[in-house]
Order: sequence, then C-alpha cells, then structure tokens
Amino acid sequence: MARLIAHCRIDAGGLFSAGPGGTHSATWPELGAGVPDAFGLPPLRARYFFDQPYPKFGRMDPLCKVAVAAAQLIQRAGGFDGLDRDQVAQCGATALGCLEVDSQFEATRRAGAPSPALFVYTLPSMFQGEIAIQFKLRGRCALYCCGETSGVTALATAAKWVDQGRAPAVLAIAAEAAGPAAAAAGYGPPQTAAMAWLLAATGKGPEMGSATISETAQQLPPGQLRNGLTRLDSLHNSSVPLG
Amino acid sequence: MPRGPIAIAAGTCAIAHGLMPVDDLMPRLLAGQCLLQPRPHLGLAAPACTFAPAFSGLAATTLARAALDPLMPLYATFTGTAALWLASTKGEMAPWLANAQAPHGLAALVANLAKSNPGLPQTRRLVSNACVSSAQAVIEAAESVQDGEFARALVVGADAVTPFVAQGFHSLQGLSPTGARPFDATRDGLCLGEAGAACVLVPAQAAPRAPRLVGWGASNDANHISGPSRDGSGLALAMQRALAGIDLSSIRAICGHGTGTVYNDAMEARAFHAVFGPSPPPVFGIKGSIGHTLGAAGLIEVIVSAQVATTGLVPPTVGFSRGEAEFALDVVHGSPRQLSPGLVLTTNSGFGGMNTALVIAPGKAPWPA
Repeated sequence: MARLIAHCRIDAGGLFSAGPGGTHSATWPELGAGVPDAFGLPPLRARYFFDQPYPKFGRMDPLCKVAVAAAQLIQRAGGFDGLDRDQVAQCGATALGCLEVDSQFEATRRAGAPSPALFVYTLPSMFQGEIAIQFKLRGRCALYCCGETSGVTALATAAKWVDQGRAPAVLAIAAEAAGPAAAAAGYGPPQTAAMAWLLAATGKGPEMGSATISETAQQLPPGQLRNGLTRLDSLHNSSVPLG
Repeated sequence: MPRGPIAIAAGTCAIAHGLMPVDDLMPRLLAGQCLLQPRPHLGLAAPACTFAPAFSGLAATTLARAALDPLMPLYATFTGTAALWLASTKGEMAPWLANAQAPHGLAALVANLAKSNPGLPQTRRLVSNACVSSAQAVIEAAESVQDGEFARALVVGADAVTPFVAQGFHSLQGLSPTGARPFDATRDGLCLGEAGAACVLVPAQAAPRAPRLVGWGASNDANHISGPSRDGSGLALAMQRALAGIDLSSIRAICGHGTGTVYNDAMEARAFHAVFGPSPPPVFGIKGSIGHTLGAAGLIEVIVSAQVATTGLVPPTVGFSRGEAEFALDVVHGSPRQLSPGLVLTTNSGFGGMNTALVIAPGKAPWPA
C-alpha cells in the first residue's frame, strides 16, 4: 500500500506544505506577492519558493510555474530525502492543459513570427519535464487530461503504481493555469492552482489506497478547486481515511 | 503474483491515402515507399515536407475514428469491464484555432469521439506526454489489464497536422526541407505526419494467436526540455526497465523512434549501444515513410513491430543510405530483411525528456486475422 510522504497546495489563499521536514504555510502578502488576479494567483516569482536564483523559472509558461513550485514545496518539506531519484515517477493531471500558452503562441503565429520559446510549452506534459530536470527525477511519467476527473485519476494511478510495484515513489501533481483563454473557452470557474502528493512504498505516513481514493472521491462534493483539481481538496479535507 | 503478458488482439492505423490498416500499410513499408508529399497550405516560409494530400484538413477526430471504428466489432467480441485510453499531443485544434470560444484540443477530441461513438467504454482516460503519448497510453492500458482493473482496453492515438503545429516545429528549425532520413549521416530534420491508430489489449489467454506485450518501461532524461540527452542514458534506462528478465540476444530487431533529427537519432544510437553493446540488433524506422505522427507514432510503431515480430520481415528504413561510423548501427535499408520471428523492441522519445520502450513477442501469423 502506498504511503503519503509529503503533500502541498498552492491556491488563492497562499501555499501550504507538509512532510518529514515539517509543515509550512504562507499567504501571498506574507510572501511579498501582489494580490491574486481574477484567475486565483498573483504572478509567480521564483523567490517565493526557491532559496537560490532560478532564472529559468521566469521563462516558463504559467502551468510549468505553478507545477514546478508545487514540486519545490514537496522538496522543501523533505519529501524527496532518501529516495533514489532515478526511480521517482511522476503522474500528473490537468484539464486546461496549455490553453493559455497555446493562445499566446497562436497570437505570435498569426502575427507572422511564431515564437519557438512559447511553442516548446504548448505541450501540457512539459511541466513534468521541467520538474524532472530541476529535481533530477528519472522515473516514468504519465499526464492525465480527463476533464474534471483528471486529478483524482492521477492520484489514484500514482497510488496504484506504488501498490503494484510499478514505481517505488511517485510524485502526483494536479495543476491548472487559467487566464483569458480559459475564460473565453467557457471553462468555469478557471483558477490557477496546484496540489501535489508524494507517495512511496515505504515511510511513516498514512496509507493511500488507489481504490479508496477513487471510491471516496465519487462521494464528495466538487470542492473549491475545479477543472483538473475537482474533488481533490474535498478528498484532502474529508474525514474518510484514505488508506 | 506473476504478471501475464498482454495480447494486442488487433491493431489498425489510418494514414494518408485513406484508411490503411496494418495489412495495407505493411506492403508499402516493405516496398520502401515514401508516402510524404509537400503540403503547401501550412504557411511555412521555407519548403518543408509534410503529409499528406489525401488527408489534408482532416480532423484529429476523423483520423481517430478511421482507426477506431473498424476495431469496434472485434473489441465487442471480448467481454468484461473496459476502458478507453486516448493519446494525443494536441487533440482537436482546428475548431479552437478558428474560434477561441470552441472547446480546446484534448478536451475537444475526447468529446468528439464520445459523441460519435456511443459504444465506447464509459471509462475514458487521455494521456498526453508529447511524442511518447500513445506508447505511454499502451503502457498504462496494458498495466490496467494486467492488474485486473479492466478486462479489456481500447487504445487510440491521433494527431492532425495544423498550421499551429507545423509552424511551431518550423520555428524550432526541426523540419527537414528535403525529407526525413532516420539514422542517416546526412539527416537534417523530421517530417510531420498525421494519423490515427488503435488497438485492443486483453489478457494473453483471451487472444492466444495475437502478438503480446512482454515488457515495457519508461523514464525521463531529466536533462533538457526540448532536446534529447546527448548520452542516451535516459532512453537506455527505459530500455533496461522494459528488458528486465529478457535475454538480450532474443531481441530480433529494434523499431527506433528515428525522427531524422541530428540529436534524436544520435541519442538513440548511443542508447542502443549502451544496452546491447557494440552490435545492437538490426534497427529500422518508419518515419521516413509516413512521417512523425506525434501522438499516434508510438502506437503505430507498436502495431508495425507486432507485425515484424510475427513475420520476421523487417521493412527498410526509407531515407537511410549511409550511417555514421561513430554509431555503427545495422540499419535495415534498401530492401526488406527476413529474420526469424521473435521479439521486437520499439522505442520512443519526446519533448520534456520522455522515453518509452516496449517489447513485443510474435503472434501466430497471419495477424491481424
């Protein structure tokens, strides 16, 4: 049975993480960030999450930024400590995907100067690549894009991988980057946010069973976060044991 | 608990010139035909090979259905719980490109397929991992059957070439102006293709004559966001995971990703040497013939590899004429090569450092029946 090693959340209220290294939370004003915009977050800066300069963070698309930031919260919570990073897999989720950067790239294309810097981010799985590079994770990757079931599917799949011995540890991240393009396309309510869990075959955390995650989620309300994160905060806040 | 192999009960693909089941595609591959043709309306500033007039403007949904629909009768002969695994890099983009209020890419592809085919399983999962999307979907689906989560799985991969994609690759200087030449010393880029592909996966005992998936693995380079690792260690890791417990000398051939880009093919060659030593098994690639079909590529190559495993007949690598001395690969080219039927390894790599490897064991010819 998979065990929960660390978890985190980034949303309009700020950030929260918990793991072997302790818990940490901060509001955006406490981080010196601006006011969250209509889509849930202030502009993300590397210094809110990283102690060292990380110039590449500023060049990423919004989906990569929020997902990489979530992975960093897992790292800061001590989640990766002691793990063989060659074996740490990633199971991700997003419903909106790269809709915003698609819109930005399309604007450059229509203007006759398609941007290669934007084009490389027009694949929704690029955040898994950025996380792999930054945290040296060389395990398998799968990204689920299944509408409102994306996040629950990815979390349950991550637990299954561990339970079935497909991977000794899995970083499950559900992330959304919302903006004008999501609003125009009728996704509602589009919010930028991320939640992440690190599951492993060994550890002292609570057990998280794949079937229990799926079955429990079906009985819960959608929760505050929507699109690919639907039911994840309800699941996390529920009193139903996950194991 | 020992895990049994997974049967590829049937596979189809739809590419240029109309629906081309693997039985129709294979003779063209074996004949060394290049099916790539110029497609000028994509708005590229310089000549670039893209594919193909017969399907110009066709939607990803159309390509997916062209592969999927012929499989549905056979799929229906298997019983039990079922899931649909979709794979695509961009999904159905054309409507959204024309109207920003239209459903976007991946969500649109899922919705369109569900609407057009009420017989599809209610459990539908879309996997999008760049150019390994459909290979990864095969892995996810195979494991779901192997673990008993579902009794049968439909896997569908599809991507269409739109100006968005073509001009994007062109902006990265990734397109060959002269045609893809996988593993060739003079290779200078890829050619885009568009296709749909589909297969049915069931436990091996449910389809005893069918080719089988007997190993798979995946990894991440953790090296560069849009370029392959220079040393091939990421792909080698995926291959080692796929080949665990398999005698390396039993691998008859390798179906390489072989995009025709300078760095991908060199990376693959290094990975093949790292795993197999100085004399890897014969290598072939099909992207010189049908182009790089992105989210469909991995599944098409699984289906072609299943055919090669079963017949032992390896298609020539279109575009290849002379390899690099540094890599010393035995690339099948010029004419098909007859080997004895046996295991075939197929590999894929994609943006974000994704790698997959699958090992396919032969069925009893003819396949598909």
